Amino acid sequence: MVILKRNLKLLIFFLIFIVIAPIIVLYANGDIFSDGWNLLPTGGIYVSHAPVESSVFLNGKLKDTTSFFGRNVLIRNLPPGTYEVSVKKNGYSPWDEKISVANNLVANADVFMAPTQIIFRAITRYTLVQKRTATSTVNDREKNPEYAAVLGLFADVPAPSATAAFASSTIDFSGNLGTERSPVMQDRLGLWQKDGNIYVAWFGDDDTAPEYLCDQSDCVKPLIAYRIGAPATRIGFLPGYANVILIASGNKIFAVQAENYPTKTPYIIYQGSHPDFRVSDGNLYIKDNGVLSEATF
Amino acid sequence: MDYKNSIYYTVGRASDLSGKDRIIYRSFEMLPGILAWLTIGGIFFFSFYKPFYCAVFIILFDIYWILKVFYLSIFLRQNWKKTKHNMSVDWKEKLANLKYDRMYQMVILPFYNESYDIVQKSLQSLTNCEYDKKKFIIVLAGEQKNAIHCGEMIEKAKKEFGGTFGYFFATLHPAGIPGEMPGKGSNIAYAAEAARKEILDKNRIAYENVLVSAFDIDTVAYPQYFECLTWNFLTCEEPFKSSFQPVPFFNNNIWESPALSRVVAFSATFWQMIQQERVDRLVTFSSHSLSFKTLYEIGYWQKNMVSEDSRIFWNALVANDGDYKVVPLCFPVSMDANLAPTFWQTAKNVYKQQRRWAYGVENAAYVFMAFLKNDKIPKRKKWRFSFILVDGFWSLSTNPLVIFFLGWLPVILGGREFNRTVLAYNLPAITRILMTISMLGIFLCVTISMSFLPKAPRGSGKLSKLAMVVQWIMIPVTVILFGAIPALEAQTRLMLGKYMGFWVTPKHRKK
Repeated sequence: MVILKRNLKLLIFFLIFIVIAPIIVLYANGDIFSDGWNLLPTGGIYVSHAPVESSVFLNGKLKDTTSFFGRNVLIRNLPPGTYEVSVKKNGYSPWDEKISVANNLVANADVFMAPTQIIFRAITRYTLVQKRTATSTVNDREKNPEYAAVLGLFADVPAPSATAAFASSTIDFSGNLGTERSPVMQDRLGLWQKDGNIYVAWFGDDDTAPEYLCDQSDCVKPLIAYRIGAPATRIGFLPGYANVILIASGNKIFAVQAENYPTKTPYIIYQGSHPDFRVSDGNLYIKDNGVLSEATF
Repeated sequence: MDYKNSIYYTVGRASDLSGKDRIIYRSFEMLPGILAWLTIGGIFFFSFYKPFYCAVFIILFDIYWILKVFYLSIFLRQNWKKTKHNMSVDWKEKLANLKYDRMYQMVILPFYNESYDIVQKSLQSLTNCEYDKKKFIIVLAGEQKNAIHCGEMIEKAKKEFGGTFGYFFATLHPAGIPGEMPGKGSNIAYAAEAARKEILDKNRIAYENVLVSAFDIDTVAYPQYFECLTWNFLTCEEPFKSSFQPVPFFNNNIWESPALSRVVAFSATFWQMIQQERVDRLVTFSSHSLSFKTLYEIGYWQKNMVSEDSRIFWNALVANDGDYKVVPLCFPVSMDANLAPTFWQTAKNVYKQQRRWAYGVENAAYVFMAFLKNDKIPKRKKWRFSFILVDGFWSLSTNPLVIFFLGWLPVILGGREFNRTVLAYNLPAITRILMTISMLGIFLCVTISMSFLPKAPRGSGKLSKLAMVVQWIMIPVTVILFGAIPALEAQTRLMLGKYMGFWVTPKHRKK
C-alpha cells in the first residue's frame, strides 16, 4: 500500500514534468501559444546601456524602466517585424530607432543617449595668479601648461608619403589618420572615411568582434557607419564608448552610433565656426577659432 | 554453493580478484567516476558544439531538480511527523503486550583516540535508557594500535560503568591482521566475534535473542531507543532478514558547532529521513541494529573496506539472495556534528567526512558483481537496485554542479550565433527563477531543524537561535563544496584506483 501510494506520487510528479517541461522549453526558446494552441515563434529586443531610470518605449508604449541593478531591458514575446524603440530620460537626448525582430532571435538595441547639456571647460593660454610683493599682493598671469599640451595635440600630423602608403599592402594601425590605410583605432576597431562615407571594421578575432559587425559567416566586412556626403575634418571615437563615432564636419562636431540602425540620429556635441577635436587619455578636446576647451558629459 | 561462501562475497576491491573477474570488478569501480566526468565533460562539450541542445537539457534538468526537491520534501515532512510521533510514544507500554524479556541488547562502541568524556557521555546515555540494564551487553571496542590510550579508557569506563550493565566487555582489535583494513569495520567485526565467544556462548545466550547495535563512540541513545528497536524487531515480518535503522541526528554538540557544520549535518539527517520513507531504497547508515543471529550468519561487518555501515546491508542482501531489507525506526539516535578547535579545521573535517561517506560508492562494484554472479537474486530486484545505486552516486557528484555551476555554460561557450537566440537570453533567467523556487524547500529545512534542536545551553542569546535559521542560505554552497566535490573526489579516486582508507572523524568538545 505504501509503495503504491509512493508510486502514485511519483506518477503525478512525472505527469507534471511531462506537461510543464515542453511549455517551459518552448517559452524559453521564444515560442508562445497564441489563439488557443497555435504556436507562435517570437523574438525579442535587448535594450542595453541606457542611463539609469530611463523609460523604454516600444511602439510608443512604455515597456519598462531601467534601474541601478537593471540597466538592461529584455522585451520578450515579440512577433517578427520592425518595432520603434524609444528610450527617454530627462536631461538626455532621446534615443529612437527602428529595430527588426526575427523568429527566436534577440535584436540588440544598444542605446547611446547624449546629455542635452554638455559642459565645456575653457583651456586658456594663461592662468591668473596672485603674487606677493614686499608691500602688497598683485594679480599676474602665467602660461598655462595644459594649454600648451592640448594645443600640441592639434599640431598637424604629417600624412604618410604616397610611396610608403602604397608600397605596403599592410595597414598602418598607429598612424590614426582616418584613411583606409591608416584607420583611427580604438582597441581593434578601425574607422576611416572614403568617398563621403565613414567606415568601421574589426581587425581582431571574430570571437571578440562587436555584434553589429558580424554577419552569419564572419566579422571581417567593413560597415558604412555613416553617410556624411562631404569630407569630414576629423573622425574618431567618443571617449568611453566603443560604438560611438565622433565626426567634425563644417561648423559642427557630432556623435553617431556605429551600429547599422536605420535611423541613426546624429547628436550635436558642439556647434561653432570650424571646430576640430582630439581625444587623449579618455578626454575630448575641442579647438575652434583658436579657442581650446574640454567637453565633459 | 551459497553465495556467502564464494570469493565474491568478501571482496573489498578489484585486486582481491584475479583474471576476468578482476577486470569486470575494476570496470564497475571505474563506472561511477566515468559517468560523473562524462556528464561534466559532456556539458562542456555540448555547450561549445551544440549549445542549443545543451541549454534545453539544462532547462529540463532544472525542472527535474525542482520537482525532485518538492517530491522529496513530501517524504521529509512525512518522516518528520512520524519521528516526532515516535519520540512521544511510550514504547515500554507498547512492548508490554509482547514477550520481550528474553531480548538482550548488545551495543558495540568502537573507539580509537577519542577522549574519555566522549566515551563517558555515550555510556552515560545508555545508563539513562529505560531498557533493563541487566539485558545490556556493552562491548567497548578499542584498537591495539593505540593500546595505551584505549586501555586507559577501558579501565576508566569499566570502573565507572562496569557494574551498571548485565555484561561489560572490552576488546583491543589487533593491528596488522592480513587482509584487513584498519577501520571501524574490522574493529567491530573482531569485537562482535569476541563477544560471541566470551559472552554469548559462555552464558548460553541464544543468538536470536540478541539485538546488536553498532554505534559510533559518540552515539547517544534516547531513553526508549531499545524499546523502540525491540518492538520493531518483534513485530517485523522477517526479523532475521532485516536491519533496523534509526534516524541519525547530529545534535550532541549542535550549539557549539559552526553553521557550516550544522547545515551539512542536518542535510545528512534530512536525507536519511527521506530514505526512511522510501523503504525499498533504505540502506544501513552509520549507527544501525540487527539480530546477532543474522550478523553471525552473514559473517559480521566486512573488514577490508571503508563503508562497513552500508556494506553490511549489501552483504546481507546478496547472502540472502535478495531477500533482505532495512526497517526504518523513525526514531533518532544522536551523534556529534563536526567540530574542531578552529573553523578551518572543522571545514576540513566536514569535507573529509563527506568524502568518506561518499566513498560508499565502492559498494556499487560489489553489488554489481554480486548481481552478475548470484543467479538466485530476482532480476527485477537487480535492475531496481542497480538503478538506485547509479542514480544515487551520479546525482550526488553531478547534480548540484549542473544546477548551480554549469547551467550558464552554453551562454559562455555557445558562441555568437547561439547568444543571439531568445533561448540564450532566457536560459540564465529561467535557471535563476527555477532555482529560487526550489530554495523554498529551505523553509521546510528550517522548520524541521528547529523542531529537533536540543535546548540551547545557558548563555545562548537570540542571535544564536537566529543563526540556526539564517544558516540555511548556505545550502547552495554546502551542497557543492561539501556534497558534490567530495563525492566527485571519492568517485575519481575509485576510478583511478587510488583507494581510500578509513578516516576517523576527530571528536572534539568545547570545554
